[in-house]
Amino acid sequence: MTLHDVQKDGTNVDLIPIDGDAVAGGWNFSINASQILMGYCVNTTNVNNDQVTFPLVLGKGTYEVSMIYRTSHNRGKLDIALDGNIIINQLDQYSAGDVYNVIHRESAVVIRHPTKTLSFKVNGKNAASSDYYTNCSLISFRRVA
Amino acid sequence: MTYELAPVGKNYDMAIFDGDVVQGTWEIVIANTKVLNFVYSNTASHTDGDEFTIPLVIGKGTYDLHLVYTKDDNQGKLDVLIDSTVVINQLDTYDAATQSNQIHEEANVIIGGGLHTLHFKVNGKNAASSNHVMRLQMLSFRKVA
Repeated sequence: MTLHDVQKDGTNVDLIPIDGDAVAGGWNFSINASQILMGYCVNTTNVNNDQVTFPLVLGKGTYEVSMIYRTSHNRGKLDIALDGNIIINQLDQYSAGDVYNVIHRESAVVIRHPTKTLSFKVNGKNAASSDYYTNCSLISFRRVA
Repeated sequence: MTYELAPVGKNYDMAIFDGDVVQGTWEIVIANTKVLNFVYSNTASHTDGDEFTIPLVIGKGTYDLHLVYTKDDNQGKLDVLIDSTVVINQLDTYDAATQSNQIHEEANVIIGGGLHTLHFKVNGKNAASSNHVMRLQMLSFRKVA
């Protein structure tokens, strides 16, 4: 039995984004005592198009995706994709002041074929933002259909 | 479709951070002495019957459940249900002094295939407790059969 066989039907998955595979830029898990899980995965190079991927086998089904992160004055916009298909588009992480533990929920993400790669990629920034830092503490896939 | 919604079960560690609120106000509260650096709490509403739900698909099997939570002098009792079945019954989270990172184990919980809903609901309180506050952190499903 292959991994594909046992995972073709989806189940809930929580992913803590530590130790990703950097595609562009540098990424690490930064400690911050004000944030859930004591920190977040962040692109320390803070350049547009910085990208990191994580292996993630996610079976077919319809999911509610819940992601928790920090917003701040120097944050960019983030694309989240599964096997190249964007499921959260240009999530704007800018705010004038620090706001911790912000939740974005995407209610109906349909996966028709098992996926293998989760990607975070910086894609622009708010005009008011001073930089391209982006971050994520936890992303949760909860199957709903 | 029945087969598609009955995947093979596997372990699932679920951070409790973004429920669908049925009653009360539930929110993340940062707490540096806790596992995962937070609690998910109804501190603002602290009313009997406060409840939230989380969709759940983890695959059929028999699981040991490990709930991480906090005890305190103002806390209530907790019911955890999968759909309409009570799997943790009136867990008393009262203690005269704060007790962080408590673990309740519920062995041999049988979960069928398909879509389920997890319910977390305040159900009463210890006579010595001053309120119905609940502070939760994570729920771990470990497949044993």
